[in-house]
Amino acid sequence: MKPSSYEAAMHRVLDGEATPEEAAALQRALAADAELQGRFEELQRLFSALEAVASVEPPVHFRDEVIRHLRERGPLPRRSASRFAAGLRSWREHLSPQLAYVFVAGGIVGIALFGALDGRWRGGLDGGSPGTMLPLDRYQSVRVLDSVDLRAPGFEGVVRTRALEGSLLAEIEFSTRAAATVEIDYDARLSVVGVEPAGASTVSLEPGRIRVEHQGSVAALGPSRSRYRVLFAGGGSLVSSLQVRVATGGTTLEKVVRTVPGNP
Amino acid sequence: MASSPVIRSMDDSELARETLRGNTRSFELLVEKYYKVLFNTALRMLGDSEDARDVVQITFMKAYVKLNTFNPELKFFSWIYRIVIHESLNLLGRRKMQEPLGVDLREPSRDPEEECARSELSGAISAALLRLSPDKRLLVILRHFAGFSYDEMSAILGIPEQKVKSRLYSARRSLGALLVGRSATA
Repeated sequence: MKPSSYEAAMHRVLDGEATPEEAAALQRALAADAELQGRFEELQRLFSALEAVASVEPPVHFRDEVIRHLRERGPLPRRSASRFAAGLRSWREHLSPQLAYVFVAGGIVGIALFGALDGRWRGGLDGGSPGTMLPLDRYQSVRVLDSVDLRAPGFEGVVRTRALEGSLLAEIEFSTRAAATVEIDYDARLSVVGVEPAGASTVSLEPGRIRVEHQGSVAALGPSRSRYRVLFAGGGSLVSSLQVRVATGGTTLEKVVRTVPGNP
Repeated sequence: MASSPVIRSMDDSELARETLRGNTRSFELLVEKYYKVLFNTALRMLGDSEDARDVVQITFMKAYVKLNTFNPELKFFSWIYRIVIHESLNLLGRRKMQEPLGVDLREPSRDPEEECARSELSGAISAALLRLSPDKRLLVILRHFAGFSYDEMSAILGIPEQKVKSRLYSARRSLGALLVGRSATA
């Protein structure tokens, strides 16, 4: 190691970034040079002193003050769905062709497996039957507010709402062979925090509406089954229902599902 | 502030996106997460609690209003740190501070003897820090008080990692020299 490198090596050693070889070389140099050893100890003292300086607590209520100012400013104008879609388009455009092929191949294999497994997990729609592709239902123990069946020719489904702490969870699960569109209309006082998809459909978000477009399944593979969870925030008990609309094979089905507790 | 565990577990980019969808509470979680560290950064930069408070307030308000310019593929903390640094440097520029204020950097009380020793050391560090040039001060603050890695500092400051290191080494040398009372180009 060159003498000019020792200084940088001292910083790297104290930063925990030096290689064992670099640390050993510095160790040898320090043992042979008292002045260098003195400089290293000085730097060590500086590191210790900096570590001893504790974090300062902000003034009491400072956080509340910041939040109050933000609330006075009011909510931001909602970002349009088209901008979201533009983001997705840009993401797709930046995908390399090779990566795109991998995605497509993965999708085909996934759909084939999905269909092949279908016979084993077609055991009803009431709550995660054995063999489902869905992960363990972490919301299973959360109280159901309402559960509404959705039935149309070739289409069978259910929509459930559950109350989480300060939030609302809507689950929609359906089995269909034909193409189907499921829309959930929600009040502006609610906002979508997340959508958890598990199926071969397209989910799009618009202000006040979530749309699931299902392309149908290959006849030989039987009906395909999809399940989505939508987590909403806000609204609380002020919002009492969601509107669910299913369009499949020329039939349109409309249902209202409660988002507050009530009699079945 | 009541929030579901699901919202609390969302990462910064998700919270930013959700804020843009009109959910102000998501941004409040970002405030909760970063107000202390931003306050400390501003305080170490400015040496004055009231100024730090104003700068952090302005930082959050600017971040909120300009959130649509934030690229969710990047790290939110890098973005908001850039704002707080910019605001702190702006204020320093306006103030044209020549002398360190060396006030309002008191820490929570501990054992009186320990407190006295720590307070003395802490006061010396704080004072020396304020005598460094703002550029050097910033590097020491980001690394030693905010605990950023070189990679993160590079993203925040917008300079290559190697440059971050060499400038930080130089800042440490200057700070060390100030602490032992030697003359140094701060």
